Amino acid sequence: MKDEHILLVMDYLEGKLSDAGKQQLNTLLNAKVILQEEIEELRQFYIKSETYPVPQLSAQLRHNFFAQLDQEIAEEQRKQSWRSWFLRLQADIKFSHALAATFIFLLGLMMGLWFNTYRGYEQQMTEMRSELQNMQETMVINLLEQPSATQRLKAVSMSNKLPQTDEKVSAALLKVLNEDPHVNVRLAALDALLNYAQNPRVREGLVQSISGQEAPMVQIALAEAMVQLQERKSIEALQELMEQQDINEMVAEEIKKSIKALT
Amino acid sequence: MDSSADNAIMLKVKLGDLEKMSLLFERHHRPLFGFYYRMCQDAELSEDLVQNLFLRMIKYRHTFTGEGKFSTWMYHLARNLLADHFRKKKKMTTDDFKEVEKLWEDEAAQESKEEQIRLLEKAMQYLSDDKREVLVLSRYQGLRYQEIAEMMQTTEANIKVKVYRAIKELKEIFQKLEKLST
Repeated sequence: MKDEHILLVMDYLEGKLSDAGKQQLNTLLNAKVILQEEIEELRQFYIKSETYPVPQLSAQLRHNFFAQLDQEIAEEQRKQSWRSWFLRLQADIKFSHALAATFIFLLGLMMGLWFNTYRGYEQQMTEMRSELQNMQETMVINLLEQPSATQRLKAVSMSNKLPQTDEKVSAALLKVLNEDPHVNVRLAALDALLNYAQNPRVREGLVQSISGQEAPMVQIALAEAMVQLQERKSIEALQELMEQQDINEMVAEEIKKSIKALT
Repeated sequence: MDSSADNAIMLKVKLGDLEKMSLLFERHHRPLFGFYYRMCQDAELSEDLVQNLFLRMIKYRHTFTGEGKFSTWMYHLARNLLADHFRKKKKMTTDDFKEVEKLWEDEAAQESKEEQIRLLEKAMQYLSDDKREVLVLSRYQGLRYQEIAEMMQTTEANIKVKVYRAIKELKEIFQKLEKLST
């Protein structure tokens, strides 16, 4: 079959034949240049082969993609400049010094307690607990400011062991939730912040964070957290997020469900 | 989200905002999986190829100019990745086809007429790579002839002719397999 006739038959199969095309095809069919049976058979097969389904995707693909994307982001950040590498190195060294100093301080404190037989045992224990808590708090806040995402994740995990009334730590976690460049760290911070949910400032911080998040996973996690906390004040922020033009379709769907669960 | 939004997102990725790739992943991973699955009929391999494609998009982000459609650039990379895969793993030859065909005579005999989709899947595998590709891209991935022509550096009419020949050949293979199954 000639190419020009093929184009005509293709238009016929796709149902896009113009009036002039129909006339032309009829002429060719009457003249038996194109055989009626041949194109009819082809048309039937064309309809039959319209559906070609594909299997369901496994959840593994999404998991692997995000893990690799995180690696790529970390790699990109490492490459960005030698200067930041030196700064990081410097910060790491400072951090090691801080750790060593903390250890020596703790050792001194323990030795002091050991030898101090005149002070009441109870008072000593209270002071020691308070000192330890202060140190842990300082360590968590310091770690949260580290350039390494792994260190920051460690800090978020350590924060779970601190008393849930700790204002400084909850403020630092909110900062991480809003500003950390790494999605996994932001997600971990959000999980940790749920322990502080009885604190009205934390709840307010979580609601405010909704409008500033761009990563779909964090947006979904925040919407789910709002449902978990039954925080109705978040409805407006969620609504605004859902109406954003560039919102991911899946995120919009999840937010819709969350708003429904809150109303 | 329309194709211009895709372009805007990809330009951000190009400038180093790699996190935005997650949005493109959400939007395109399913159609891409469909493309790979229809080309190789191996779900596991198709998922690997989709994942590798997104990594390749990050690696070659400097080649995205933002002038054409994002999907054209994406499918251009998707095709290259598939071609690389087939180059590494030697593709089925005509001789292999004959051997498989013999095996098929037994296998096909067990197929019921209700399993026409499976017959279609099998018939697709006997099409040559280039015919299967134009057919999958135009009929099942919904790309316009113009886009495919741009990708393959040819004319729209040429692509349309190729699609016709692919359908015709597919029909013949399908009918052959159908006869074997009855």
